[in-house]
Amino acid sequence: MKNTYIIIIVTLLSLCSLTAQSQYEQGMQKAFKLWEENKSIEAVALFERIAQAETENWIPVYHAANVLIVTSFGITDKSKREATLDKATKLIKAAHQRSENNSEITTLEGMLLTGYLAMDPETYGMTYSAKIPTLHQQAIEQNPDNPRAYANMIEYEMGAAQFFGQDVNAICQKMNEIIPKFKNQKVDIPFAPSYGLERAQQIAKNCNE
Amino acid sequence: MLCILCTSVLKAQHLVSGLVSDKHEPIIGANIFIEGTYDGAVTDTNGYFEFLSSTVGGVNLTISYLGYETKTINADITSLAQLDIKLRESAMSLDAVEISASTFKAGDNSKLAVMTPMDVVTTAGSMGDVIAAMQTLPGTQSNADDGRLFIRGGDARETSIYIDGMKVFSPYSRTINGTPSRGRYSPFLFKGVSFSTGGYSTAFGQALSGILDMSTIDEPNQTETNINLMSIGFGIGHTYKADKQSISVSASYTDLSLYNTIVPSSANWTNPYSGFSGEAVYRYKTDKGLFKSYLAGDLGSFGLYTTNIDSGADELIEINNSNIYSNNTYRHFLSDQTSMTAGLSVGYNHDKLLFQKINQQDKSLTGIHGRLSFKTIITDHFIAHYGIETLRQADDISFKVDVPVYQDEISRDILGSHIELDYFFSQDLALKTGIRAEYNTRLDAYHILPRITIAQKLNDASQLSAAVGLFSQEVDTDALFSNQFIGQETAQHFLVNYNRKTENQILRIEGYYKNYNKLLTYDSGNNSYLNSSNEGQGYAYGLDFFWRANQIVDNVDFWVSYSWLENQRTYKDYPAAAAPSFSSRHNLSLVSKTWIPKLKSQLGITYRMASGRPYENPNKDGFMIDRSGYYHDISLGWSYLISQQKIIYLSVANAPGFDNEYGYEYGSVKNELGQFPDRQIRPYDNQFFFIGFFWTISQDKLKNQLDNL
Repeated sequence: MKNTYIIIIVTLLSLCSLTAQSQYEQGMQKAFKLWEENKSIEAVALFERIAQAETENWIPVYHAANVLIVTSFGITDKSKREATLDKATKLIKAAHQRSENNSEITTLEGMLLTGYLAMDPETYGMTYSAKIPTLHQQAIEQNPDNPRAYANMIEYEMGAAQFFGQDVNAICQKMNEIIPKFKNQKVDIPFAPSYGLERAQQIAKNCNE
Repeated sequence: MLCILCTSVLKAQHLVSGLVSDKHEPIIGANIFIEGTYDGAVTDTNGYFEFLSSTVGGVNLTISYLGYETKTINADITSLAQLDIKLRESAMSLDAVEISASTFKAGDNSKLAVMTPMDVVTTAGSMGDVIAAMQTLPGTQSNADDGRLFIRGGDARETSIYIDGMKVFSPYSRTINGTPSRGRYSPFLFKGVSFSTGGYSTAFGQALSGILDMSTIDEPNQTETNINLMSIGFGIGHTYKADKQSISVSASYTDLSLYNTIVPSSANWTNPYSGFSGEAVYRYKTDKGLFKSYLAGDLGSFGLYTTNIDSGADELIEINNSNIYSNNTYRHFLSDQTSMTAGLSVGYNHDKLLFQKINQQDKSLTGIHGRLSFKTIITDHFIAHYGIETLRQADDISFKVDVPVYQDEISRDILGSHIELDYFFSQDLALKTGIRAEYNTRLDAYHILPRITIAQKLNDASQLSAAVGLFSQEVDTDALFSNQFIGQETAQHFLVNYNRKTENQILRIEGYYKNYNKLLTYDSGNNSYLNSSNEGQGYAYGLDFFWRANQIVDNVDFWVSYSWLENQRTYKDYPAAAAPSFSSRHNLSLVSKTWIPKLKSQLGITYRMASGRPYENPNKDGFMIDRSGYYHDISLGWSYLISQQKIIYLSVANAPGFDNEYGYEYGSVKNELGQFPDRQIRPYDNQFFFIGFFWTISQDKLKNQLDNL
């Protein structure tokens, strides 16, 4: 009888802890779902809430910043756009503190600066146009298997080539060579960034035309 | 039983709910959560939120929204229902009123910035000189024969120049009357500048009229080598960047003799100008701070024959200049709220002037500036800046005619301290009050200099601000040699500023009144500085106008600066009050740039105009009543980007060849007609052409990595 109690207690306790663990998964899944539903404010808010509860984990911070950066490209009001990017800057800084020399975060930082550059090339052109490639390069050094680091670099190089009237197609073709890197990527931490294949395929497909 | 206990812990939930608003309306999309948990929600279109939480006891409820101060409520969970939460706009947000609106900013911080770092390099006519680029802003004078910064009726000495908040002792290159001097320092060193033509912060002392503070780059972009070939010389530089530190070194050689053989000058040069300069920058990033050290040195010489107006004889003048400057700063974040900056700058400058190979004049200056300053964010609405500094300058002068005939030296120390408080009553109204105290050891005198600025936001785009303040500065060093007890000169500034910034336009209008007291005076005659004292006074008032617009026409960016100035002063050996010879009533600059993607080119055009400047004609009654002709200049610039790494730059100053004059000079002996003979002062080089090729070689591992795929 005593043993039965112990079994019950142990089972119950592990059940409790199971629910606690899946709270993170549930939360993350819910946040991704909100983003899919175009509720980016709610998605960022949830990622931020998870981030402040999980004080060591860089992943929710990363996604909060990522959503902000992606949405910033569509904001027409400049001061709102700048405020959004400024918030993303703070989050990326926090992410770097939680996980040093992380290739994914460095890649995202490159994306962040591209966001500023796209918003105001006159102001940020001189400094950021040189800094962005350096970040991409650093991201590749930190993890030579990170397909997003390559894909972002290629996209950025394409933009620059277009601006300077150079051959875009030659750079675009490189995207085909990145696709295997996307397919071979191993995501061992749940919710770690793994996106980008579809966009890469799209770009690769369009460059032949 | 246990089963029930466990589930009850899981299910015992409290409803947390409420409304979030600012002063006027509900806030949509605010994030509300219980600290350390996943429990939270986002406000809906009515500002309402509700969520369930299984947390028990005392909790911290956090409410945050972009541009607002984050609020935390500490309470028992059961009391967190039907809350009415008011958020306060953050004074540090982008929409807040700008307390230093009177200062022109160029740099990454786009809030009220009037220029971008790129503008300094690409403004036609600036020839890559930071100082020249500033002269396209209102409040400055187009004194093309001088090149230094003259602000609002003040002479060039009244503008102090700083690098990273540390004093630059000899900011301008050495030239001779009639050829413009340039800033000594490369524009590529700086990430931004802050330029004030009045009412500036109490952090700056020893300047009656203006402040130019240039901030150096914190972190270079990449390891690279730069090569430039120019029609006036060549340069090479290399930057090495590691994880936490970086070092840059550069050297350049300038020689105008080749240029002068192709484009003859009206001056009779023996050596038009040749010089060598070198720079080194070291930066080190610590966990919570940044150390920057900058060292620059240059050697330059030139020589020419000038005609003596009285004797008609050609006289040879040769000048050698050597200059060393070191600037070191360390910025450290003591906490999230407080940052500290410690700085030390040291400068040495030596000028040797040789007249007819016989008379030699040597002048040297040694300066040391040390500063320790702090910034504390006390609350989101209250910021304090405070610090102490010491400024020492020693000057030495000597004359030789084969053997030394005269030698003199003087040194002075100024100890300063300042405190400045920025208080934001709301996002729309802010007050800056500051006081600066200086102790001048030479005079054993204190100077108490209060300054105050108030700023009110009128609507989303525009704001109004007003400032008053007291400023003080040592007199010209040359005067101190003959009387070392001359006191400091003082000025009072009063200004009202209107600023309007929309997405593509900036409009800025500033009216000012400046009152000068205790200006240096001395008896007229050949023995200058006789009976010198502080009895002079003067005033300047006027209106500065600035309008910048982008994209009104596609790909075209332009700005207009207009300054109107009325001024008079009695100083030096003036027998009566008059506008000094360096001031003109109207100054206008029109700067335009356009990027033509097809040509991979940026074209720039700058038009500058200044009304005539006063000069003294001894053949007429009255003092300083004659005016020189209007000054006009149209400069053109063309940057052609061969690739991201290679740029060709072409520019022409005074392309139409306007025949400019800067007034007249007079002989000291009357001719047979009973008149003093006159001579028109004209620029030695009425036009200037520049061709440069700039090449950046970066390792570009990137491209290699792509190729290796």
